[in-house]
Amino acid sequence: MRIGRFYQKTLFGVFAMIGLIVALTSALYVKTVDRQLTGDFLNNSRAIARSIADSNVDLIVRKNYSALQSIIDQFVEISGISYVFVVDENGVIIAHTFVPGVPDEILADYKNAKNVYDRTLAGLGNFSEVTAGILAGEAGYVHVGMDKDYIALQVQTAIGKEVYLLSIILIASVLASYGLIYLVSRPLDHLRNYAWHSLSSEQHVSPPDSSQVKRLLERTDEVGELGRIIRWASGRES
Amino acid sequence: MVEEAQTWFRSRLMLTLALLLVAALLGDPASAKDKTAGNASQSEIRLGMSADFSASARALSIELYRGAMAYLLPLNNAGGVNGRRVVVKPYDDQYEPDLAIRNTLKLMDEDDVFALFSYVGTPTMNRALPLLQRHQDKHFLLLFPFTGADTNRIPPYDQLSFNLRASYDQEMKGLVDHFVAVKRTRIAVFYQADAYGRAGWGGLRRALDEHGLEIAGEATYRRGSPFDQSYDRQVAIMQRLQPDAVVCVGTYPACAGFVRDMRDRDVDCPVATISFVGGGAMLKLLIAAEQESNKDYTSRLVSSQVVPSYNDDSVPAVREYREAMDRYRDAIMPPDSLLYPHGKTAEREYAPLQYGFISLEGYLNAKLFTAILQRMGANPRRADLAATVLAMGDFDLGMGQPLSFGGETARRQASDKVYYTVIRDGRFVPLGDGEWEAWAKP
Repeated sequence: MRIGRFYQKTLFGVFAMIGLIVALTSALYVKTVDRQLTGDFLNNSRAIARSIADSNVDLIVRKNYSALQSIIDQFVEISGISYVFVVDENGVIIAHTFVPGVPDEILADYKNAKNVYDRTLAGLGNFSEVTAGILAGEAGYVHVGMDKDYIALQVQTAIGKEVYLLSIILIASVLASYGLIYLVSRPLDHLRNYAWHSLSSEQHVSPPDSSQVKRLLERTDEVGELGRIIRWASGRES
Repeated sequence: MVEEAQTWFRSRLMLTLALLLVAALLGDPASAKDKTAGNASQSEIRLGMSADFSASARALSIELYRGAMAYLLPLNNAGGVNGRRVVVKPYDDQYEPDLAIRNTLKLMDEDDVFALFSYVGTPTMNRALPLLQRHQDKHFLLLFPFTGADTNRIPPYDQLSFNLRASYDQEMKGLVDHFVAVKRTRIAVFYQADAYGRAGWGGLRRALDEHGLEIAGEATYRRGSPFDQSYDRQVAIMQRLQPDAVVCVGTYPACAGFVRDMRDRDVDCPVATISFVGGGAMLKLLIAAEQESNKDYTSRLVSSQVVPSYNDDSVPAVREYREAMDRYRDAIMPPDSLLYPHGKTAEREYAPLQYGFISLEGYLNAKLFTAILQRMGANPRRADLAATVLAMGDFDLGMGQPLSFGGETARRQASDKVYYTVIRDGRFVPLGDGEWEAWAKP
């Protein structure tokens, strides 16, 4: 299935255009999804920290550590939440979910009262840690750690699916464009062949099939019109 | 054909309506009220027990159940209480809170038990208590859970439960007071990373606080960790801390594994365990490990207990208990379907202990419940249970110590006594107050 030279540039242009659209869409999507999903995860962990801080004030104030631990244990069952710890008003960690102990990196700076910590914990990975104050920080803080690798994996999975879909669209578009341009270029090829045969004395191409010439001359579009002009110019009747 | 079908349908409809009418007429509205009040059936009193019968803490639950059955079996053989047998309905929760919730719902809604009895574990109990609160109109109570956690001892759940045993706070206070008295002030804790471990951690913190001290450091492990696992990471923390003593708040497989690895790495400070650890099952594992390695894993261990030593024949309840355990040894095991949900294998087969602190506690729990039931008269109602217990005042279970419920402070915990034991010649022996000097820091 050969396409005329005239249309090869057009075809290349179409391919380039589709490729550019796919690339730009992918880039935009990657950026949007990355920002959106990362934001969602952080918002979720903030909501969890807020919820623990707001709904368990009584347990914290009464020092019911066991019941508090029961509650935070349920939150680490949520995908992406890697750890939770609660700090009292004296800066003592009164409940946590670490095994075999609270990492040294956290012990070094958890009292800094930041809203978000970016942490790399040896042997555990990378984490975004958000905090929420208990009674506006008067009774302590709740810290919730999200696994950044888990977030990255979710982002990559979402992007991967999108890129996969766009790749399929790209391939389908290329095939469809190629097919359409072939359909458009084929009558022109016949017309070129007819012109060579009718007007040139070189006669270097095989003569067109008579039924093919008949179909060409019966066309009502510009190709048929050109065919009829060539027939008139050559002064020959088929 | 159509007419025949219509006639058939009409006759069935009439029959159904008639049956419904009969059911409605026979149904006694009072029975619904009785169910809420929790009237006992004419033939038996059902107690509902949710515990780990098949997973990591199964020895605790099995021994607690065996102890209770050692008391109830002869009681039922002799006619029960006021002609009613006392039956324990056990369910396996594998020490998992979600299963404990499901079991509790089943016990309350389907089995309509008289009370919940001898639940095992803090994380499971912590999740069951809110259910009791939701069903307060049905007057369900949790009697004598096998935990010393605060959750059922302080608001908002303290009104839903009664305890026989002392609390973890009391166990911790006793251990800390004794350690501090012999100049062991740097006390670290090895604990299960869950509500139970945290309850023990809290008790230790409060006990140290009374002496103006803080926890020297901590190491945790995951619930369900087996004995065979390496506890080197936790031991490394202890090596770094160099504590004067370590208190373990775990279950017997993990605590035994931790002690083994500590001694293997020459960390030789005293190790204390609290009652829930399950001293008997831990001792069995450590003795087996000693025989394999020719090392000493059982000295410098002290256990706090909430019942007297099962070897102390001078205590009347202990004598009764030992007799019953000897007599009913094989008849008091939980059903195999509970112990081996995936089929019984030689590897998984549970070898019961002849005696132990936990089965003694189960025995005393059953004895105490029977004493309460006897006070409730011929028609015990769940709605009257709390008032009956609170009206008991001082009583004696033959434990060699005074027990009491109710009184001016509306006590819901009968015993405050904590006992200490050490291992000598492969068995637990009491550690008297005067003997703590031997544990003094060099």
